[in-house]
Amino acid sequence: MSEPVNPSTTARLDELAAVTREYAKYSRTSFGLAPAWLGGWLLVASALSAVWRGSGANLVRLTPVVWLWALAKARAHYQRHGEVIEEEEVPFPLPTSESGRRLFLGMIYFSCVFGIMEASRSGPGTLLFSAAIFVAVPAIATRVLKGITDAVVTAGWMWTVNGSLLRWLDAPPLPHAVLATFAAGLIAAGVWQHSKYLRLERRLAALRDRA
Amino acid sequence: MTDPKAPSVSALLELDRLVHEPARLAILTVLASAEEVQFKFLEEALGLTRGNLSSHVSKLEEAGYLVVTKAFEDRVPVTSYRITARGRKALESYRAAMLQGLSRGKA
Repeated sequence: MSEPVNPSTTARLDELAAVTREYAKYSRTSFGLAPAWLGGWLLVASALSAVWRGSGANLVRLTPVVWLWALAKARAHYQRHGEVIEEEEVPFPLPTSESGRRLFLGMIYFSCVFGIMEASRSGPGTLLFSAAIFVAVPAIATRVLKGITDAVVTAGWMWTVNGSLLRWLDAPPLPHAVLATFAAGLIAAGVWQHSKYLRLERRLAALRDRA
Repeated sequence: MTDPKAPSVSALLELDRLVHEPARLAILTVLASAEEVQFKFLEEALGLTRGNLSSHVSKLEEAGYLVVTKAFEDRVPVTSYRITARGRKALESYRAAMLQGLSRGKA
């Protein structure tokens, strides 16, 4: 980065900007191997729930917690060259970052209430367990979530797990095939994102070597 | 007769010299591509030494082109930077002037 500005420098700056934007995606919208870990978890938990009814279903219910754990681990891994936070494109205006944070925490709490209501339909025995999980998740989420994108994905997991997924598990055999396909899709998405990241690391190293 | 396609020398001489320095131009380019960037990433991506990077960042901060946030994560000090609206505008103006000058030079 010592030569005068010329067309080749301009091209390198464009490349630098592109690499930065792609690297930043691993702070919010790209989760690397995190979906793959979650897919693996869902396969194991649903297999256990098939042979170990009740307690196995509680393992499936832990999915949002596993997701947040996987997200935190993936971020630490993929942003090990220094954290770069992606510019978030929110489809509605947020006056200040503080109000945005309150909004997405509100979404999480709304999802908790929905999740507990759904769990109560599965039977009173699981209600206390679900309530404890969905009170614990926002406490973890405030440390892990970095924006609206994360909040929407995490809330989506809560709705999926406590809404459709647990009912699917109660009605075999088709639900297990659907779940297995879903989990395989998550694993494939995680592996694909990881391969994209490996290419990005090579681009980052090439930029550094040319500097 | 003056060639209307000739590069405007006065416009080039009025370029923001703070942005014109290649390392600072690269720093602003990285910051303009994200919401917040840690010192470590700038060091990794640009291949600058810590001292050199700190010096350039200080100059950009003094000009109001970026803001610095210092925090502790797991008891480790972490420094992050955000480009300001003023910094973004300076970078855009600089790039526009340079690209215009370069394209006129080619014509």
